[in-house]
Amino acid sequence: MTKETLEKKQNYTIVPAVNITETAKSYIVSLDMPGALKENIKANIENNTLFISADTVENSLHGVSDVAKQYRREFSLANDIEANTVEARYELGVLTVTLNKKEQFLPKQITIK
Amino acid sequence: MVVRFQPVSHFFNEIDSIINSTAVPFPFINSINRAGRFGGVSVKESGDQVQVCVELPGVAKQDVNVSVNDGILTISAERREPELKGEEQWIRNEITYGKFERTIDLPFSVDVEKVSAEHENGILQVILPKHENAKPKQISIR
Repeated sequence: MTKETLEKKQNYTIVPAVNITETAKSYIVSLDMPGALKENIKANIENNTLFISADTVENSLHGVSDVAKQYRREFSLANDIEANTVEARYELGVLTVTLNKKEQFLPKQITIK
Repeated sequence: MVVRFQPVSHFFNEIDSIINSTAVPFPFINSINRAGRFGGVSVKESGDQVQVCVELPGVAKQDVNVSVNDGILTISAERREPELKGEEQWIRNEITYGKFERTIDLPFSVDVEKVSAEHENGILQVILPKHENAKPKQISIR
């Protein structure tokens, strides 16, 4: 990397890597977003799509912060997701979003009379 | 500061371009690109200190090790794969787990006693103050 490209480092977008797991009741989506601040992370659902974005700040040596990069990723959701009960947690640079399944899609135990 | 040629990343770019040009996209191999690999390093130098930042998302503090020895900064870390609970199953896995180690040659002497490190929001930041002898000096002209 030349000095020129280092200077251009500001304001570029990264698609964070994702892990998705499924349980009987929910989907768990984890995204690697190191350097983001909790208050800068945006997660919202619109038109059956989950949008995740965050700006990161890099502390420079003199205490002045500048925007280093932006994380962005979106996921189209299947119709079994209950959009009203989404939970998100940011820990150790990893954002974890839990998407619960709708009641009618949950496995049901049928009692035999 | 000299930045070394990195044949490995060129190799991955090459593979990526081949994969991306095929008619059927294969998302799991596609993610071989930068995303998912951790341990990106940035180094900044100023007159009296150097700041080294390493991206270590999902790595617990006790799994990070920083040492300075004989002018070489060594950072090692381990990212442990999360265990699936009960009936939980994978749908997609782009994140790489495992051990990471990186050594950085310091081109000046460092005040070892004053080196500090903190690990926050998945970024490890190491501040290495330069030794008195290595700091730039203003020479007054008489």
